[in-house]
Amino acid sequence: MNGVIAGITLRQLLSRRRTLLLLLLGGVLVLVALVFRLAGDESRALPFTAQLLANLGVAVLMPLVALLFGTGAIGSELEDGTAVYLLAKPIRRGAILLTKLVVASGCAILVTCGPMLLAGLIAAGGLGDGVVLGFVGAAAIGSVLYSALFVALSLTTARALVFGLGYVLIWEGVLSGLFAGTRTFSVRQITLAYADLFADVPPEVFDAQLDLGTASVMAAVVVVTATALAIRRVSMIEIAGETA
Amino acid sequence: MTDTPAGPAIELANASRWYGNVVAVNDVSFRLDGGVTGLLGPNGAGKSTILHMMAGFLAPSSGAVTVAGAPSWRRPEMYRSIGLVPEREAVYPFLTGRQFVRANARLQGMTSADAEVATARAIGQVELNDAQDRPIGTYSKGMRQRAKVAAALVHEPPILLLDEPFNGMDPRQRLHMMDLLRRMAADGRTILFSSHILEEVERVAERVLVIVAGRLAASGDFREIRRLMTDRPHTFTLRSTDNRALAAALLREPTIGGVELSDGLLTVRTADFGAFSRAVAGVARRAGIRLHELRPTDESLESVFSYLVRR
Amino acid sequence: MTLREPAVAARESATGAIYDLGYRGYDGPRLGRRAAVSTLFWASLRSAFGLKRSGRAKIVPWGLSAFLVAPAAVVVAISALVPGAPTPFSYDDYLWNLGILVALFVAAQAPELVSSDQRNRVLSLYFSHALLRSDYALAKLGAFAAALFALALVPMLVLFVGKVLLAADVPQAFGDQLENLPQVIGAPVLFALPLAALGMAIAAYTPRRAYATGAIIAVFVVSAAVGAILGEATTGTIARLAPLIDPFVIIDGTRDWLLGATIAESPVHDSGLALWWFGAIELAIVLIGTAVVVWRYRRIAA
Repeated sequence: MNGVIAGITLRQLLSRRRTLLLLLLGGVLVLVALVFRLAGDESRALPFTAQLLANLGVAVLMPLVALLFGTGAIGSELEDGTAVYLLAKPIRRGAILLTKLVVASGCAILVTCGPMLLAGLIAAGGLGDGVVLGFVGAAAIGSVLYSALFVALSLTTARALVFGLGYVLIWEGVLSGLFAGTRTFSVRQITLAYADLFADVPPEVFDAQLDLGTASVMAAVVVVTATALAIRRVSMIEIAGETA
Repeated sequence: MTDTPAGPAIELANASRWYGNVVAVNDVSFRLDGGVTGLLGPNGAGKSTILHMMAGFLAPSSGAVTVAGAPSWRRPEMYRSIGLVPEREAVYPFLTGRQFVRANARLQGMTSADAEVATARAIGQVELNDAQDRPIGTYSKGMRQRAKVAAALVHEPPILLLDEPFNGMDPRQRLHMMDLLRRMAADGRTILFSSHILEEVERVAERVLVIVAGRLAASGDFREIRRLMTDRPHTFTLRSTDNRALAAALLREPTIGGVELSDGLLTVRTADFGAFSRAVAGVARRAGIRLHELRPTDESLESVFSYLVRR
Repeated sequence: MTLREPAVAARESATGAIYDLGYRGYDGPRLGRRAAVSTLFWASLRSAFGLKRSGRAKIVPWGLSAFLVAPAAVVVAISALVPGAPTPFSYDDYLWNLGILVALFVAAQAPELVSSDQRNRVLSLYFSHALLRSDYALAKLGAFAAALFALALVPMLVLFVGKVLLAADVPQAFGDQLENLPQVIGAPVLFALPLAALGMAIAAYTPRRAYATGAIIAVFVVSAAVGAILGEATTGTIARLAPLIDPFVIIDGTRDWLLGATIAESPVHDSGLALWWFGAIELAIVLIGTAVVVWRYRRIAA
């Protein structure tokens, strides 16, 4: 972990525009919870909270936040050419990447779990028998997984954002709905499996598609493979001049 | 400064770099060990590619690129010995000039205290003291260049690589930068900078490497290169007490290709620079003509360059 | 082309020279504003699909198109192999179910059309010609709407052609399927116009493609999710009207109103609104979105 790199990455990620967009997203989550409080059926608070945190929190907020932070962690510097200043230093490339990954994950966790916690508390009117904390905890894990995935993606292609969106919307969205097999390779499903574990929720309210064993194995696989791939690519990164 | 490395500071041995069918750098070999060298060539010739290969950001497709005694590719420790000033304008806009240079110093492994001292010195060297506490986003192009150079100098590397360093600088800043480069070279550093502006290279570089279409077209002192272009006649202008008579006398010499008279100037073309320079004084004396002025006219880097590019 | 003689003749003297670089003025006919707009339209339409550019620019639009058309091909294949089998998609609900792919196309390609020009700062070049600022905005918008129309049309056509060709009696089947033609052509139009307006309105405000893509997709995905959640969990007016913040629901309502086919799961019916409301809202989206884009380009500094 390198303090200088962490500081620079942090300042870059938390730029005004990015933070605004993401806080807006989190705000929507909280707003929906408030609307429920005001106009919804109180007796169904628990199922609603689970639905809210699963369908808006884990399925929408978590991936979008991780996408912006993950692809921006090193991707934006590669795009505008400032990456050279970090890479032309006597620091192991692996260390550089891990620092950025940790910062991106940390930001993603903060901007995802914060609003989820708040929205959950509002909707459930309290901790909701562990539902809220369960989902928030699972979202932290999911954020780390997504961040690793998207950092690796940003080192693989120039259009990491679009491909990342394609993965989240098409693979995890459409295809997972159609083909059960794809669910094993879905960060969303892994996260929901953990949510099911942490939250002591009756199955009618919420039931994850993956069992915990598979989810844990896949989580480990995702993190390790993505990080290893990212480190490998950043060690061999090629940056050509603008005019050859 | 770090320990002096074994072998030349920079060495390319038959280095080539291609992208599929496009050859960007074609079998280039040279050695640099101290002094200021200019990498000269038209846009798209491969200058940036060569610089990036030296900076460890491109692997040679074949051949070897050695910096500070060891291959440049995939060796982060090498960066202790190198300062790189990339061409792209972008720098972290939210950092002040001082913060940027200091960050570079810390990333080079300096302690906080050393970094402070080194930053102050580097900023002084590029004369950025007045603007150092403003965010780089507010800098003019020339100021940003200077900040980049300061960041490259801060750890006092023995080797300095600069890609189009004078871009965007006004004449005064350029003169100052040229001065700085010459001073650093005098300290024993190896400095390589690329440019497509002949005038800059002519003023600073002790030697040039001319790159055309990926190949090394010529290297060395540019006047010497000119002398070596024997298949192209040299032109001299002379002024004497009797140009016309001198012209007639010179035409009898076998080394003279042609003469031209206009406006009190005698222009002479000769294939053999050495023979002519030896012969002209004798010819003039025998004819009883006094020479006032003898000057080679096409020994500029520009003529050298245009000749090489057109080959 | 009619070329003029150079304004200044080439000349030389001892201390200075004027060179003849072969530059000539042009005196011939000049195509006007119409040609400029039409050229921009077609060029933008091509770039929405990555045509006439590198292979890389084609991956995303053609990949998404393939994903969008593949299920239609699958449906046709199923019908061919197992006649009479229930198919997962039909004319009515095809675009509804696969709408996310269209949304992704909008998010990925709208920035290509408008954000790139801002990023590369070529707007001043465009505006210094016969093209008015509003012409630029409308040409880009029109081109993108045309692109979305083409995108949505292909799978519908595949379904149509498949149904016709697979029937035992082709001319008869053609006659039968003809009544579906308004939907085959009309539904893509109803999808293309508001989505293009929305996408362009968002993308026109930032030169950075990544931000535009993120913002567009966020709008679509979040509105859909919020609409669905509130629709289910609350009661009363909010439950009825919440799903309407999803533009796809509005489009479905308009489609229902104009073309008559209904989708069971669509929240259009539970809303309790007369169907023409949806048409009105869709029209409003198109007009407001267009106005926003034109306004943006009227005011942008170039």
